[in-house]
Amino acid sequence: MKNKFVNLSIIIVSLMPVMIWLAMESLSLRFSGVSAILTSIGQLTGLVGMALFSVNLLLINRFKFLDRWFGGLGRMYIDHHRLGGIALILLLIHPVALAVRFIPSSIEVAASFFIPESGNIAKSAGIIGLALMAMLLYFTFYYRPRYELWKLSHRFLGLAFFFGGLHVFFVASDVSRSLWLRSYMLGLIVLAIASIIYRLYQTFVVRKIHPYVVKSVNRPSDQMTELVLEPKSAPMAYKAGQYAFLSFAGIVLPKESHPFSMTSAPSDPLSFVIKDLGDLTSRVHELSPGNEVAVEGPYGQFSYQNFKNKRQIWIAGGVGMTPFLSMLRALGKDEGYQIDFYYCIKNMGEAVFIEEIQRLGDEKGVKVVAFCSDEKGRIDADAIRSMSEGFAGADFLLCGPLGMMSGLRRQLIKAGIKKSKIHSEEFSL
Amino acid sequence: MKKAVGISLFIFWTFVVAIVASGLTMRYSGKSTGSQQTPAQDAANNLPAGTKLDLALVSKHASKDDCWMIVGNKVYDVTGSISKHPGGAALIIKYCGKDGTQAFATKDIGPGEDHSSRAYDMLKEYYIGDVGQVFGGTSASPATSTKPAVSEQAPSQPVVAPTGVTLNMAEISKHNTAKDCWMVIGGNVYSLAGSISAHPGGADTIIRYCGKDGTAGFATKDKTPGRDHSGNAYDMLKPYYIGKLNQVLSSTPKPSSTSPAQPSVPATPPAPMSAGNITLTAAEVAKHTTAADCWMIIGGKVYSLSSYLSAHPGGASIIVRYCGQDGTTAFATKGSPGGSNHSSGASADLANYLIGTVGQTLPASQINASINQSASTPPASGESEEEDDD
Repeated sequence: MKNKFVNLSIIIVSLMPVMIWLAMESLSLRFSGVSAILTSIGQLTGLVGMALFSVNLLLINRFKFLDRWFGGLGRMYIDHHRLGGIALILLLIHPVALAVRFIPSSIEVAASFFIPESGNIAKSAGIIGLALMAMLLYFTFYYRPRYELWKLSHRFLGLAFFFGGLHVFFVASDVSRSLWLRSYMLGLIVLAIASIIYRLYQTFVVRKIHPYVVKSVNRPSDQMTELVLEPKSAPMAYKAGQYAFLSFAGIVLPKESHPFSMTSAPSDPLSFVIKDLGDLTSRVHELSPGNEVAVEGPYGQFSYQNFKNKRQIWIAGGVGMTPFLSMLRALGKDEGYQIDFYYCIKNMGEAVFIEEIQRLGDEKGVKVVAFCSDEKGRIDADAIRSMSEGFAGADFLLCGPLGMMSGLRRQLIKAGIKKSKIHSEEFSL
Repeated sequence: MKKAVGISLFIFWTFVVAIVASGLTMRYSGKSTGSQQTPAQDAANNLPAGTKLDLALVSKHASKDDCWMIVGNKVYDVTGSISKHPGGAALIIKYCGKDGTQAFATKDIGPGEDHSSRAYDMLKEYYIGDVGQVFGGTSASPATSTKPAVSEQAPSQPVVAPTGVTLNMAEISKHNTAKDCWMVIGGNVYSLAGSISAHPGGADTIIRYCGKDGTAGFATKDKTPGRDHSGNAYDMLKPYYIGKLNQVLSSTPKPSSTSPAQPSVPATPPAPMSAGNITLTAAEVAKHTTAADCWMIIGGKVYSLSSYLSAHPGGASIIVRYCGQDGTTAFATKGSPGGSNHSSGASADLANYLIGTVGQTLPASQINASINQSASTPPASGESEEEDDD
């Protein structure tokens, strides 16, 4: 579960420049006329935009403490995505507001805001950095190319940030006149650069990686691949419901790393079930025994053991069943849990491992409900309430497509379930 | 989020393309400020005849609806600029009726940031005239047009160097503002206030070195690695020349030129010295270092050579180079190492310009008389000739 203070901390850190800025001069002067207002807007968007960009770069490393604070790295990446978008919008406004001031007196000067000038480092760096940022983020928010390409292009945002940092360092403005503001902004920038360097180090140098090899590759359905792996040295220890980043040696498949939930119980051979969803995942079945797999993890706060409440309602959508499969396999017979497991698919043809799941359910006293939307329509809170006793006192674990989860979450809240009792694992942005 | 980002990106790029396109179009369609008189000048020409453009007059136009300001020795009617000012109206209004030079050069913030050269250009639209200019009547157009001529522009105010002052760095550093700007360039001291507004490189680049040694700045146009000014530009320094670094200024207030290009070396003798006795020491000789007032020691004797300069077959500048100094060796070598001596005729000619022997103490009046005498004596052309004119 996401730590309450994380959001607040992000807001405070990003808005601190505004506080310092306000203390520098009286408000009446800052907003004394159209020109002054535009100047202030320009300055504030620049400051907050750059602060957000810096903070965002702190949310790119797979630290265990970040995993804990955000209630799973998945949430950290979601925040990273959102903060990135906000930072971009603010930074786009920044030069426009400043340039517009000159339109009444000289369009040429307004235009010169966007034309790099040799000898003017601040201006040129700012223009290059922002142009780079805008162009690269087009590939994030609009047209996403092949994952490898997208990831590479995304890395260049570090360069855009560096130019932004140069701009902040050299520009003659409030940030150069106030030692407080300057120290704060440059401090954030330095931290962000340190984070980038660490990330590069992690990517290209070292990784807390558990080396494994493929033991077997199975196809439980034509859209799913099951990988069973064997450790080359010490096996990775994890809790049922957690996930790890898998990367393949680049011989059969490209060398990218993606997160997948473990489907095995921690005491069993490490296994994953991967749905055909994209460039890499559609080709996972091409692996063969002996291929190397680097397993980085474990990550994730989504485990039935993390919640004190033993009355739990698990709701899985499609491939979202994977963490639950692990949990079901790991569950002891007499641990006192009262669990209702709703496995939601379009139809029975899509369900995988359904016999094992029903068998385990019988063995361990878990009520398993295979809910097919083709038959019964989409699952909703009312249906669950009618099928589960003690609905009101349960903790809800959700894992599945984003739309399904957010819809269900809303319905559950409407049905009176407290937000703190609804837990979800995000697979994608 | 995706929508918001998309809309922002679209608006941003549209704006940038539009503004850059218009900006470039305007720059290349030759939209210049033109050389006609500005509306401000037109209005100013209607002032009663004999009106002098000074601070007193400017201070009468001190409101936001009628705002005159002095910037760099020029007077502007900036009323129309107030609403367009990117820095806001208040900052201009603050200086209505006053001298805003410093404020303009610092954007009125400490430590300050100068306006762009584009901003200095834009001032032209508001130009009325120079400080000190007299208006009204028929010949009302100011001496300097809206596009100040860059070539051979004499300073609108004559360079007045105070007398008896030593041109050392301490003194020079006292003249460090746009209105009173002394600068050392190549060992010479110039008073550049009158050049600032016409400087093609902008006022700020000069003001930066007011009161300082600007030799390196001038030789690099203040950039690294930089480019030197043209020979033309070096020539243009001459009208602003006060004296040599560390020179003790003579009693002559008139600015003199060290340039041989000057068509006429002033023939008027230097103003009479103070009454009393004068001892002909090297220090005394060193006070007379200009073409208009040139003393030189040759072979232990002191000569006043200013009236000879134009007749010198070797040209005036080679003599001027040694004004105020001991030119014995130079005379013996015609100024080139290993060079030949002057003819005996030339040496005899020298006698016409004799003031006295080094170390001799003479009444000032007598010195004046000898100088006047040599001035009225037509220079001999290689023949020894002496005229008795006592």
